[in-house]
Amino acid sequence: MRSLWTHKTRSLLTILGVVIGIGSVLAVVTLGASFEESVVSQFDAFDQRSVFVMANDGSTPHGPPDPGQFGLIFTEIDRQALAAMSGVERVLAEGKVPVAGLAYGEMESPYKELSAVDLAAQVLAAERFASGGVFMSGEEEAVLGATVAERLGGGTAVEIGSEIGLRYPDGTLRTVTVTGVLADQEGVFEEADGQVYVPLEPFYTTMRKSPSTAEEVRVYSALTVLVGDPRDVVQVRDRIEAHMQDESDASRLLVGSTEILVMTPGDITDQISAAFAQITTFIGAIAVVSLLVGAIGIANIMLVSVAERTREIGVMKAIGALDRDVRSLFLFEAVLVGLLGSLLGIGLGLGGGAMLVRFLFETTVTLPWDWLVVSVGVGVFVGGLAGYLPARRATKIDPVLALARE
Amino acid sequence: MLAVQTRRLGKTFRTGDLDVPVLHEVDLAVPRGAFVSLMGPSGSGKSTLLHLVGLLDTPTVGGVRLMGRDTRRLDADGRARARRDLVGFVFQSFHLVPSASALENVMLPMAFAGVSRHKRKKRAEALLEEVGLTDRVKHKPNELSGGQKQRVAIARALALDPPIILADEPTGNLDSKTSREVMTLFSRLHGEGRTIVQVTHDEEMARYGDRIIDIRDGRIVQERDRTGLVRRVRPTAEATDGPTTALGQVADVRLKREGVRP
Repeated sequence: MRSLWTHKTRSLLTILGVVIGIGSVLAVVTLGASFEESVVSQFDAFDQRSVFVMANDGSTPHGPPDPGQFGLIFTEIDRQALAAMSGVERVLAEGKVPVAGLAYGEMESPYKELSAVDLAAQVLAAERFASGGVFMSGEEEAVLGATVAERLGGGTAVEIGSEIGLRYPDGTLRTVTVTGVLADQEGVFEEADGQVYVPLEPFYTTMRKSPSTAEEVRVYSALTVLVGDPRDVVQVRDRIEAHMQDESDASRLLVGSTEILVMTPGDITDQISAAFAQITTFIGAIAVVSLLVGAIGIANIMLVSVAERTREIGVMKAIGALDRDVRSLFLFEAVLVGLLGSLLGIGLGLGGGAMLVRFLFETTVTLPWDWLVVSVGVGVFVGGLAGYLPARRATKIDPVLALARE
Repeated sequence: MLAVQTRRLGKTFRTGDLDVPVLHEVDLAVPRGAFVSLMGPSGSGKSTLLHLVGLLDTPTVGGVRLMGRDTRRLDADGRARARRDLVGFVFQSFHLVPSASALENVMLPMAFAGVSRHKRKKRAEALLEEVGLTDRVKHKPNELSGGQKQRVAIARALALDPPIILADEPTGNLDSKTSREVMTLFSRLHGEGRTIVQVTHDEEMARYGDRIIDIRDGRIVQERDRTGLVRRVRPTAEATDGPTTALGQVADVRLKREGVRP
């Protein structure tokens, strides 16, 4: 240990390999963990009793379900079938209503489509409102997202109770009363800022012929099932999955590579975590290489140290050191180098990672605790591994020859 | 009881295809409490004999008994333990650990023996006081004079209170005044009942011992007491074919050095 101190510069350079190896890995892992946490935590905003039923065009969506994007295949028949399942509290439907523009007072501005939703839609939960509240089903009413409300009002949000006009593509104008304005949303509900929400009844009229009943019924792009008891979510999801894949109208309306996805918020976060885990594994592989380089560095310096201290080792043997004593002396030094390296690396990695997180993503820093423990373990292991050969060589030194060296 | 006893102890070094014998089947007996000086010119094998006795080296033939204990069957750790418990080494070039203080150097053997840190420190301080270095406890070897270094080394050799002290040219790097001081210290240790075997080529230093054993060409040729009186001449197997006296052996060596075969 004393020799570590005597050769400060050399020791520092020796542990640099381990420091950089562990430091860079921890920086990236901290970055990843923080980013993952910030993404995953957004899904806490969803009611954890939800089961999302949506369509996918063949690629896997790693984000909040976007109802407008996929095929209109979930019929009213499907909705009612799901609602009748045991454990299901209610089934929320949503769809898009194409329009040409919005009018307020003298002003009229172009607008693409309204979001027709169930009045129990999660985006319309009471705590999300800046003012007013949700509309009544069957009424000519609307709820405005924060940005839309402000744009229509010309800088200040449209007041509750005022009337706005919905211009349909065919030119007709329909007047609705604003019952509420949503607060500025973040995370998974961020897109609500630009939305105009209207009740499904009477605004949503997109119909399709049900394959099971041959009637023209409403058809939706996505359904959200709310389960009564949170503990039943997984079971209910499996039942929904089975029904949707085999017996539903949606399964018969599928075209091309489109498939039906049935997921809970937990499933979505699991998918995200799995993707991050893959990246982490990849980084881990790089780390192994860099730590190997670090280990070679330690081994190299320890061999030099053994050669330099040949006489000292000879003296120690002459005054009663067992092979075990000599071996543990060098092993201890190597392990100490590894440990110091990993501790410095952890400091460097966490510091660097935290700084990157602050400046790049502006989210809170999540510390990868498991990686900290692993890092210390790996540092000690690398040191021990690197010290083994030099320590063995030290025990093989012939004291007579060692003492004869001047 | 004999402190050191060797039976037909021999060592041959191999250099390439050449066998170089440095020690020929030596029978050495050192009684307990004796102070023996092994004398001989360089290359006579006296240091090799000391290393074999101290179990630093392994013999080609024969064996060593220390304090009555047969060491032939010991493995490396067994030899290290016997060395630690029975023998204290003092070297010509002191061989102190340069980065450690005088005190830490004396404490080192006790660390290998598993003595507690507190006891190590107390004993090391007492030993340094015994060799007259109380005021040099914290000094590093490069801050000590040759004589002081050798006294630290002697204190270190005494750390585990071994019955036998082996000294390899302990005054070889010291001036004559300091040499006498160091030898006086050895005499004192001898007086306290320790067995001392020293290797030297200095007749004056050899006479501090109560017995002088002359070695030539890897053989013990004679034993003297400190007055110089030859007590025993030992003919060896090869020597019986040629000159049998010590004088004859010396002549023999000279001839060999000049490259003339007798």
